[in-house]
Amino acid sequence: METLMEILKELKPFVDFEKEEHLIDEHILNSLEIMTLVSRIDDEFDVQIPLVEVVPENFQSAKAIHRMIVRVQEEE
Amino acid sequence: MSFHSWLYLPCFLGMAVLLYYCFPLKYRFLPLLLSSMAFYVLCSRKLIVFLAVTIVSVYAAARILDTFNEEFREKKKGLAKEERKQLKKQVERKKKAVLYLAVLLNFGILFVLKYGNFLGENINQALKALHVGGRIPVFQFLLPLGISFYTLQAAGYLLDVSRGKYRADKNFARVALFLSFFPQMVEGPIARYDETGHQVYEGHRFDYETFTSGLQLILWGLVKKVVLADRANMFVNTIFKQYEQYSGIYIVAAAVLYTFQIYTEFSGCMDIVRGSALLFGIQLPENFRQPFAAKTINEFWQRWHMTLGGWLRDYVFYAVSFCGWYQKFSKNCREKWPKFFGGWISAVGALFFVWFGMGLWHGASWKYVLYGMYYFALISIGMLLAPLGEKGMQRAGISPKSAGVQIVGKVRTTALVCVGMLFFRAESFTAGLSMLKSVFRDFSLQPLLEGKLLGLGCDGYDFAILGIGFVVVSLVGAWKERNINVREKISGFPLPFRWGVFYAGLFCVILFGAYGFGYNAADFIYAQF
Amino acid sequence: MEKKRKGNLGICIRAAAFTAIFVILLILAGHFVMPKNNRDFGGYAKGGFYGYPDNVIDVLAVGDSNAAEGIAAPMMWKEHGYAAYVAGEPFQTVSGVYETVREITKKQTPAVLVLEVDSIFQASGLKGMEDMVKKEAEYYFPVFEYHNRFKKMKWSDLTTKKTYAWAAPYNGYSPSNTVKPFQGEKKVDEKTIAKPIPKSQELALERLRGLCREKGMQLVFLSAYSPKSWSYDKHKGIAEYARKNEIPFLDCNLESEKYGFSPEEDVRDGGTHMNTRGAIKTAKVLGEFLKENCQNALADKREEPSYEIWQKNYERFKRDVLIPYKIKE
Repeated sequence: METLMEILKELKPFVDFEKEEHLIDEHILNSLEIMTLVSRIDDEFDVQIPLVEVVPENFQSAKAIHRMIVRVQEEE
Repeated sequence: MSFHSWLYLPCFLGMAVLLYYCFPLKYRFLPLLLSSMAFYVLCSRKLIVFLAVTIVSVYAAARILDTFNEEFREKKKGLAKEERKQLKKQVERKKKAVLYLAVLLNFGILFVLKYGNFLGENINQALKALHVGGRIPVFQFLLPLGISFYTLQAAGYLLDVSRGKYRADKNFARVALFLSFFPQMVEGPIARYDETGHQVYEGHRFDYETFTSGLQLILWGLVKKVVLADRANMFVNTIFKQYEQYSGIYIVAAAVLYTFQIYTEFSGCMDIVRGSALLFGIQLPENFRQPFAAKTINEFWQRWHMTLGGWLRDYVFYAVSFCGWYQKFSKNCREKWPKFFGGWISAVGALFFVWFGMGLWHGASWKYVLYGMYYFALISIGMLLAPLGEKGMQRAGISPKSAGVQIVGKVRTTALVCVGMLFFRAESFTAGLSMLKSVFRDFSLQPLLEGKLLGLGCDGYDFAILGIGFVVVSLVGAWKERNINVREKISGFPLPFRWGVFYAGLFCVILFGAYGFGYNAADFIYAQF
Repeated sequence: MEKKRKGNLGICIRAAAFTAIFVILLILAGHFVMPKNNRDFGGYAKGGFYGYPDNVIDVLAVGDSNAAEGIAAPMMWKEHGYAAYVAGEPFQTVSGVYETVREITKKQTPAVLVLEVDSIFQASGLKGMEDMVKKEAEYYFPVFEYHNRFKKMKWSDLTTKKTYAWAAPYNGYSPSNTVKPFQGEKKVDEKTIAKPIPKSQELALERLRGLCREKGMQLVFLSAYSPKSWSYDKHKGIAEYARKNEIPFLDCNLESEKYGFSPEEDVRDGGTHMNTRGAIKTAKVLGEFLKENCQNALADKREEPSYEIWQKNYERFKRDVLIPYKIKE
């Protein structure tokens, strides 16, 4: 979770990722940033997020992103 | 058959709706499928063969992909991680073969029919330039109705099944109806299978509220299309047809009015389409969300032709940026260059495919490719300058959320969009360029004040109607932006007022609609009559 | 917000009431925008028949511009004593012809209906179907046809009564003194395949023939001289239809030499429309053709007192057109 927080901070320094629950709905993260985020996750966690997982629900909050990473890791 | 025509609204749609509710609930997909096929044959005759090929191939390919997915799910149980990865690779390879074959077949049809001519001419140009003798034959094909729309829907469905987002549909009629539902055949929207696939197939009970809201939506669409768009077209057409004779404010007016025209026309058509679907109890996805409230170009494209943008994002942008070689490329970028710049390069690289596809999708000519590149350039530059702007504002102590910044953003975005539309409408890219240059050559507000814009296709009455229409459309947009639903508001009125509003709308279309003798392009061609 | 479930009956009553009010408003709006004087219909002498006495038109010629500019009807009175009137409209289709005939035969009882066949190919496919629906709607609700007149309206139009007293001069014919020769060749190849009549127009023709039966009119096809727009495949298509349905068909193009039409002198715009010189020839040829084919239905009415308007029309045609144009009769 901490690594993820670091990646997110690096991506968007002014956003409070602890609190935000609607990153997608409120257009805080756009598709470009999601693309960067996913490749950073690949770097740091050594896990490839499949395209099916790229849906709004999985990116609404830091927690949701972390849940997704864990789930994908388990499935691999 | 255009959606605002005598033939579609009272005749075709009326009969289709009647037929729909005559059938028992369970079998209501039948009349809908029948109407869709009839619509297609009426409009495109024998070319329905291409639609049939797409339906059959997509249905079959999706089923095969589905069995591979199932096989993998069954076999992977109890395997070690390494073995599982091995198996996955195998399955992926098989899936890729089927997927590529089906996508290639369908995009191949689209490509040959829509772009074959364009490609052939360019090859011939190249041969000529290289002084190579001989030419390849170039054919001009008749384009089957809606091929650009249903091919995208079909590809989206296949990719989703392949990615495992949902299972392939075993019901052939449902896939056929999903791909051929007649209201979507002319101008979209491009729907996803999980949005409309089940909706179009399952029978809907007659619901008074839904039905009337469908009728109201159609009426609103007609106002936009027949009263406003077709009226603006007369001025726009006059200027663009003989653009060499005009400059300065004339060109600006034409570009702005054309932007207004294309918005009212396209969004009006979408309202008629969505309204038509509502008569059957079917909800189609929205294609517009007040695009001119956008503060950046990026945001504009999240509000304009949203289903196309969404399709390109999911099936081009993500598909490119998630595939192996691109991941490697972007990793390289981030390692070799400074962090910000590396990220920019890798994002821009993937965006290129989106905007190239976007331009080409609109039509087979360099003008449209360059139209896509125009937005590609704007967005790339925008991304590069965004941090500078933010820092600048921070230093000057201006909040990015202040009204001033917002308004500047909206005006800037609208102006850039108008320039884009100028090129979109211009005869060719060079014509667009010379029009744009002529704006600055002798710009003066004098003609506007002297009323010289009158009589160029639109007289004082026409401009008055366009002006009132502009205010009404803007107000409705502003309310929607604040989450005020105008339709709900109206239905809350007491009956006499409510009906008054509907009659006003109806007679606005009937009396002030730009239809009939004197309004058709053909009438102007034969003006010497 | 009303979210109560309304009864089916309630919905039906509501829908019926809404529609009824809508129809009433449509009719009222039609009265409002309709021209108050029949000079203002536009499109050649459209509506010019309203000013004629009842039951004086024996030969009614209909069609598009080729009819309106192609038949100098006053000459048919001069030559044969036929009371002929031309009601041509620009870009007229067969569906439009049907509605026009329907309107004219409310007050007139023509014995012969001459259809200029160029109108048969004015619309095809979906456009033809669309046109049929549109023309039908316009017949019942004129607001659809005349809505564009709102720019010329005054409030007094709400109360002004219609006065349709104007009788179109020259029996509805539109004269022209211009000469612009046709430069091209007539192509008649026996191997040409007949161009089928568009489905929508065939349907309109069926309706028109029904109207003819109902009103006791004999239908005649005429292809007015138009070397630029005429083609042999169209001729064959129409001839086939005419033969099948026993409709006399006079084609001034196929044997234009025999009838004396000249591509140099008789056309006004390079071959699409005739000038008055040509239109007089058509009137004479058509008169002869009708004499041969509709003998029982038509009679020389030059001695009939109630038909004096035609004599006056001819004299005016002579004074205002023939003499200034220096055309010998």
